[in-house]
This record gives sequence, C-alpha cells and structure tokens, in this order.
Amino acid sequence: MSSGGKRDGIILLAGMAVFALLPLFVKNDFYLDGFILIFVWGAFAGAWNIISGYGGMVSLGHNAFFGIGAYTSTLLFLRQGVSPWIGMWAGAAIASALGIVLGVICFRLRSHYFALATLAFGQVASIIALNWRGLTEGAEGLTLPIRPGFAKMIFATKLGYVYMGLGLLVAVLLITYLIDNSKLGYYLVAFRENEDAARALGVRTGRVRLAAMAISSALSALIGSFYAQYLLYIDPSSVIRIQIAVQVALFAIVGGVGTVFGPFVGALIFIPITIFLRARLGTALPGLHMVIYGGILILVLFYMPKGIYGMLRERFFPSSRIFK
Amino acid sequence: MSSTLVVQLVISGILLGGIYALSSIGLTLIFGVMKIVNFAHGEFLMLAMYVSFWLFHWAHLDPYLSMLISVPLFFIIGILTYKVFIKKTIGAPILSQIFVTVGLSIIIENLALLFWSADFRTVSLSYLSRPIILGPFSGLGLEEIIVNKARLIAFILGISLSIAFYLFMRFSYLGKVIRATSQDRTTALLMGINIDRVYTISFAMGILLVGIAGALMIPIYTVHPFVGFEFVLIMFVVVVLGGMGSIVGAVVAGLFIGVVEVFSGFFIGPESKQAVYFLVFIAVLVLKPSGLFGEKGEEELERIEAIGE
Amino acid sequence: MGKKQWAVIFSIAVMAVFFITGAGHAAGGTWRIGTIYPLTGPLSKNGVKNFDGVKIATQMINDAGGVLGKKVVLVSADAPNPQAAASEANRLITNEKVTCIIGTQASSLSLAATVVAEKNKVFYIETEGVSGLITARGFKYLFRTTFSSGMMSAQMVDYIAKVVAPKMGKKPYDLKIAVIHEDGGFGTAISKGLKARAEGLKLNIVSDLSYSAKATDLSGLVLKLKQVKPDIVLAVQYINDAILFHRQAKELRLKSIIMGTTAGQGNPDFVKALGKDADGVIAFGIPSEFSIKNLSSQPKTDAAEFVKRYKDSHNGAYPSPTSFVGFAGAWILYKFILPRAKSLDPEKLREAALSLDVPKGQGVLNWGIKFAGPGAKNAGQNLRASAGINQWQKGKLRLIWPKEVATADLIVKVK
Repeated sequence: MSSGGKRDGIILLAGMAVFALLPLFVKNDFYLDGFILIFVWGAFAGAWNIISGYGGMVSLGHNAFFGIGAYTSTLLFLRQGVSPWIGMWAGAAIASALGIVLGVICFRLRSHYFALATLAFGQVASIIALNWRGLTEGAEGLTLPIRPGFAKMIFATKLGYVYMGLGLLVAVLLITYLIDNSKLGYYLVAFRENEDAARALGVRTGRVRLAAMAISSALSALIGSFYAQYLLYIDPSSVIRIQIAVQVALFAIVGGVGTVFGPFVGALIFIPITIFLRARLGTALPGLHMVIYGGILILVLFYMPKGIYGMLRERFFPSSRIFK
Repeated sequence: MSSTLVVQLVISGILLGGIYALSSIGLTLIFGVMKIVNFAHGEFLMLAMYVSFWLFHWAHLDPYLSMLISVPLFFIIGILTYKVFIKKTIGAPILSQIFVTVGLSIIIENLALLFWSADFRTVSLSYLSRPIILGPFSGLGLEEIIVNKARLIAFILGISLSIAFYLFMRFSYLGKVIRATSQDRTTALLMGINIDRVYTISFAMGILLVGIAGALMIPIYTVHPFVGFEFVLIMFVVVVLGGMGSIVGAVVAGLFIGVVEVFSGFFIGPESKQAVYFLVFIAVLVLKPSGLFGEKGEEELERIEAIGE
Repeated sequence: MGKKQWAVIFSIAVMAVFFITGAGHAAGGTWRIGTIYPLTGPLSKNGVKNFDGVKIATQMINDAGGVLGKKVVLVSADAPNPQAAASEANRLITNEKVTCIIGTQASSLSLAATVVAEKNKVFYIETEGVSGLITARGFKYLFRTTFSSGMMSAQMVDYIAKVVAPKMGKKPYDLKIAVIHEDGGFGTAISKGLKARAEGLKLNIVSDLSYSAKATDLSGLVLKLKQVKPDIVLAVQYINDAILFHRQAKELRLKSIIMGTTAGQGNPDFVKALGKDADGVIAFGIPSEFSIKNLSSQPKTDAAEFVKRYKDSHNGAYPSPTSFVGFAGAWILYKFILPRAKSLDPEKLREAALSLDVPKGQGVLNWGIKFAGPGAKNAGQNLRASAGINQWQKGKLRLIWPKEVATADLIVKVK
C-alpha cells in the first residue's frame, strides 16, 4: 500500500471512530434521533445506489422493498411472535425474490421505462398494503407494543438504535465497497457505460444486474424492518409512500451515485437540513423547505453530476483505493 | 344487469377516458420527440387548473374562455422551462433526465402550496349543472342515459384537438420536421434541421396542450397543490399503453383506461380500480412494451440482453 | 472543481450552519407547551384550522392573565406525515424540552407522535384524531379531549334508528343502508365503527365499498349503489372525493339520503362547490355551530368569545368545525388541567387530568370532562365529549343534534 493509502486508511478510521464514539457523548436525544435518521437513510440510499447508481437502472419503487421489510418483520412479530431479528431476514428474502421477479420482467426495458415500471410496482405495493386489511390492517397501521427487550429489537434508550443503525450503515458500505472492487461491480459499471461493448466482452449482463437488484432490495428491506422497530408504528403512508422512493434517490444523487460513500454523505448533508428547515420554516412558510430540496437537487444535477462526495473525492482522493 | 347500465358505464368510461387522453397527449409528444419523461407534467396540469380557477375567481372569466389566455401563457412557460431546465438534460445521463423533472415537480407543487395554500378550489358553472338526458330509447330497450356536460365538452374538444394535432403532425411542414427529428436525430441534423428549435417548440406544445387540459378540467375537478400527482400516474399508464410518442395511441389508450376504470370500479370494486390499471400497465410492459401504437425498438434493449440468455 | 460547484457546496454549508445554530429557548416564567399539527402537505387543510383553534384559545387565556399568572407560550411543529410527526415530537421533547404537547389532528400522525411522547413520559393532548386505536394502546400520558370514532359513529347510527327512520316513515330495520368510505385511516376507522354499531342494532347494511380518496372518477361506485337502491348512504370521505361523489351521484340520479362527515361534507368548500345541491346533506362528527344560548354560563361566555375572535381574525368567517375542537382541547388543558396540576410535570398533569369530573355541559362547549382511567379499554378518552350531527340547510351548516345545543331541526326530503 502506498503512503497515500495509509493516509486514506487513517482518515477512514478516524471518521469511523467519530461516528462510533460521538453518540456516547451526546446526551441530547434529539441529536441522537438525528444520528439514527442519518444512519437509516444513509444505509437505504446506499442500497438504492447499488442497482441505480452502479447498475444505472433508476428505480422509483424502492419504497416497496422498504415497506415489505417493515411489514414482514412487524407482522411476523405481532401475529406469530417471531423475533424481528429473524423476521427481518424473512422480509429481506421476500423483497429480494420480488426484486428478482421485477428485474426479470423489466431489465430488458430502456431506462425510462424501467423507472416507470418500478414506480408502478411501488404503487401496487402501496395499494396492496392499504387494501389487504385482513393482513395489514390497511391505513390504520400496525402498532408495536412499547416493551423494550433485545429479543424484540426494541431498545430502551436511543443509543441502542444508534448502534444498530450504525451497524446497518457499515454493512451497506462494506457490501458496496466489496461490489465496487469485485467483478460484479466492474461489470455493472461497464454495462451502465456501454451495453454493447460489455456484451461483446462476454459479460452476462442480465445476471449481473439481477444480482445487484437482489442485494439492493434485500438491504432495503432489512433497513425497513429496523426503521419499523424504531418508529413502533407503521402504516402505508409512513413506510411505502412514493415520497420515500424519491427521497432516497435524492440523497444518493446529491451525495454522489456510483460511489461507495456518496449516498451516506447525501444523508449526512440532507437529514440535518431537513430537520432544521422543517423546524424553522415549516410552520411559517409551508412548503418552502421542499422548494429548497428541489432546487438543490437540480443544481447538483446540473453543476456537479458526480455529487458532492464525488467532487470532493476527485479533488482530494483522486486515486484512492479506500475512498471509492 | 340491464343493458341501460352497460351503456351508461361505457359512456361514463369514454368521457373519463377523453380527459385522460387529453391530459396525456402533451406528455407523449414530449417523450416521442425528446425521449424524456416529463415527471412534472402533472404539476403543469395543476398550474393550468389554477390559472383557469384564478381567472374565474378574480375576473369572472369563463374557464372555457380562459383558454385564450392559457394557450399563449403555457406556450411561453413551456419555452422557458425548456431553456432553463430541459435543454441541459438532453444527452445527459439518464439520472439527470429523470430527476431534473422530478425536482421540478417538487418545486412547482410546493410553490403552489406556499402561495395558494392547501385549500381545495372549485369552479361551479350554473349552465353545466344539469346533465344531458338521452332517451329513453324504448325501441332499443334502453332507459335514460345521463351525460355530464362538462365531461362531454372536455371529451369533444379533447378529441377534436387530438385530431387537429394529428393532422398537423402529419401534414404541416413543422409537424414533419418534428417527426423527422423524433425518428432520427442524426439524419435530421444532417438535413439542416435546427434540433434545438424543434425541441423548444415540441416541449412548449406539450405544455400548451396540458394548459388546455387544465381549463377543460377545472369545471369537473377540484384543484389543490397535490392534484397533479393524482393524474400523472394515470397519464404514465396511458402513454405507455398507447406507445410512447404516439398521439393516436394516447387517445385510444386514454379511452381504454377510462372504460376499464369505470368497469372495474363497478364489477370488481372501487378500491381495486387503481390496482387494475397498474396491472394493465405492468402487463403491457411484459407483453408488448412498445405499447399499442408505439414504434418498435424505442423501449426495448435488443433481445440478446434479455435475462440469462 | 469549478466555481459553480464550490458555490453550490458553499450555499448548502451556509444554510446548514444557519439553521443548526439558530435554535433557541424562551425564558422562564411562562408555560411552554409544544404543538404538532400538519401545516404543510395534503393534511394541512384541516391541520391549520385545528391549530387556529388552539392559537385562539392561547390568546384568550393570555389576555385573561394566563394560567396562575403565567402566560402560555406555544412551541409549534409541522408534521406533514407520520415520520415527520415522530421526528418533530422527538425534537420538541428533547431539544425544546417541552413536557406537554397538544396535537395532532390526523389519526395517522397522532399514532406516530404519541408513541414518542409516551416513550419519553410526556403529557399529550389529542385534539382531533378520532381513531379508536389511539386510546386502545393503554398509554398512560395520552389524553384525548375530543370524541372517538366509535363515539361519533354510534351516535350517528343511533340517530338514524331513532330520528331519521321515523321521519321517513320507516322501521329502522327496514331501511337499506350502504356504507362507502375512502381507504385511508380516517375512512377505515369510522366506517368500522358505523358497521359495528349498525350490526349491534340489527340494521340492514346492504353494501360496503371503499375507494381511494385520490380517485378521479366515482361513477362506477355510484352506479353500483344505484343497483342496490339504498335509502341511506353513509359516506366517510374527505372533501375532494366528497365533492366528486356528490356531483356524480346527483348527475346519475342516486336517490338516497347521503350522510357524510364533517371532514368531507361538513367542510365549507363543500357548499362552495355544490351550491344548492348541498342542501339536505347531513354531516356528522364535529358540531358545526352551537346554539350558544343554551350552554350553561361559563362555557357560553368562552364559546361566544372564541367565535368572536375567530371571526375577527378570519374576515368574518364562522369557525370551521375542526377549529372548535382545537379550541376545546386547548381550553380543557388551560382551564381545567393546568390550574390543578400547577406544573408542567407530566405526572402532575396526568393526576390532574384523571381527577377531573366535570358534568356534561359544564366544561367546554356542551362537553363535560371525565377521562377513562388506566386499565380501561380506551384509557385517556374524554368520555363526556360529544359529537354532533349537522345538516346543510339553505347554504348554511346547521347543528341538528344533540338537541340541547341544536340550531335547527332535521329536514328529510325523500327524493
């Protein structure tokens, strides 16, 4: 490893230490709540990034996978007494199976059609959650009883959620890093950049994208399960609404798509702005904070298509093996 | 089940479909020419409904007359939107193409909320309040058939507009230029066509068409900042079913979706009609992604890329 | 990196710093109370009005010298969706350090926000969310001042059996009743209550249909109803779909009496859209107006003052129903709970609330105050709140039930 690599390793370790240790010194639950949201959305944006950033297949239906995770673990716990630690894997399995089915159907479509198809998929999921009342209680939602316990994945203090969220985030970053350094990642990017050339080189493009879709949807569902355990109340509007799919993409884009750390950086920037804009402007000027998001999104798309992290990386870590 | 009921359902469905067709033509035009899905199309429809509402509210201008103002206004809005936002996305990565219009829709929706609040606004026109009654046709065994005037006006104007527009695209010089560009950009460029100009005009016409739709819809629907989203999903279904870029397709698909919606609302249940048209949508994507009238090859990557080989 | 890129990063950074450093706290010597309402987004229409009621109650109490000599200061938060409701509850509790919150207008928001409050042992007044689930969770610090969906649904069904049926010259169980509702939390919860009560009274429900409030057409639904020819359609709708439904029902000549709720048919926009066709439509839920003269003395003065202030600040418009319950919730806190608790300590507030036993008609409006105790199936519910039944008559929404505060009588025109 070069000396640049050493430097990058130190920076990474220092960054990780900050996020791992800082919450211990934050006594204010409100800021801890911010940490949790940053980790949840950073992880979720990272999961979206695998198929839409690396794979170039833009999904507007990730709200469905998130919701499937939230509903599966919650329903298994409420109806069958299955611990969310197990239920979340069931949700991931279902989401990943549906992701593969969606992929088989839609991967032959050009990107705009794929985006529309996923949008429809998310809407169907939302309609099912609303109308299959026997299973989901429809719009009335599901409430998890507030009885903290490790087996129930309900923590008495916020710190429990902070570290669980951090764990998910690290897992997503690690998986993304591994993909980025693997043949899978190489093929995904090759296919995204030039389909014909990738095929000429013998890349089995369909399978590559299906693998990415399966990983992306499974991770989204795991995060959805955790989010339900944190909210303790879920309904279609809190875990499957279309705005979730748009928001997760927005974080990833502003941070930087097709990079390992970009989506997390997006969440790191946006969550605090979201919370404070809403608190400061929401009551006086309704809607203004959303106008600002839309503006940031368009500005970033026009002037820094690689995202904020992507730009910073080019400037400071142009050939880093760590900051991908 | 009486035959009167079936006829009534068909008529209600076709009238509803006329509205869907009308609001979708602009979207399909923009996609056909520029290969861009305008995710903010619903929000432009919402703006158009507000324009007609305010003209009625402040100037007591009949919504149908307000089109005289909407048409030039939305043409200009279209040009400006193209110049400021859309032009930069031509040839840009897919992500920019999608999310610039998504961002635009977020901005427009929330500006409407900021300026006009979430109030639901309606226009009630006294001369439209009584429906037209057809029949009874005792010879055919039909009782009275009821036709809503506002929907009928929207339908007739919408269909005539579509025909006029189709003829324009088919026979006028500008229409031919637009079609030439949409079919083969490179050749059009080589033939000396000013692509940027064609794009500007196409986009502006797409927005102008939704401006007209807004005026025709305000006597029927309430307008509020979130109304665009309620229509835009249906517009996507209509445009994909009809074949992206096909005007005839949008009209036929609009009518089809309208009838399907009314029938499924009646026979399957009103709660599932949305699910029904999304399933139609997914079925189209699986079976015939080019839609009913679309040009083959727009939507699909080559066969070899299909899954697993 | 070019200048433009730096400019974008810089402006985002400036904004972040600006908003992070801006948070502050008010001085002592006041009662700091949090509020959570949907002030943006699709729910904001009623959210803002409900919050208006709370704000006017706050002005009234402060102009009268505050509570125990200290003024009330509201720390308000916007919750357009459940996720924001939970997050804003967190912010109010941990950052703004409030120990008492008033909210939340919509049931889905309430369910999300109250979980956070309960976890943090913060006292919570729900002013409008009616879902039965809110009080079904056995929360200790949650008190709903207004009626529940079950209470208002039961009242409506009883009213049909006792008043509407005789007026139509029919036996209650001969009536054919259809229920239609939007498929959100509101429609689902209320229609459930209606069906349960109707079944209990052995009434004849001939049809039960749901649809999305975002629907762009309801003609299939109307024609389906026309097939079964119900005498009464109970329609649980929001305003947008209520307007669409009534327009299409009239056009397609659905000849049933339509009874909606104050969230849909009781909304002032309803009469604006339908004009004369609104006449005769019934809206149950929040009383639209009160025959203030029949209220007992103190509630009478308070209600009259509220109406006056509301009109002054809203260009002479009469308070909307949702503003009334917002006012009532805040007023119960300011006039009954807080003076007894003498502190914003949630434990004391809770004890004070539970100790209240104000007979019907002596509290706010024509309500009494008696909260269901812990262990009850609906812990925290004000058992003496009462819903109302209104009817559009000559372009005005008149209260026709409960009798003692009604301003008009039911008019039934069988079409």
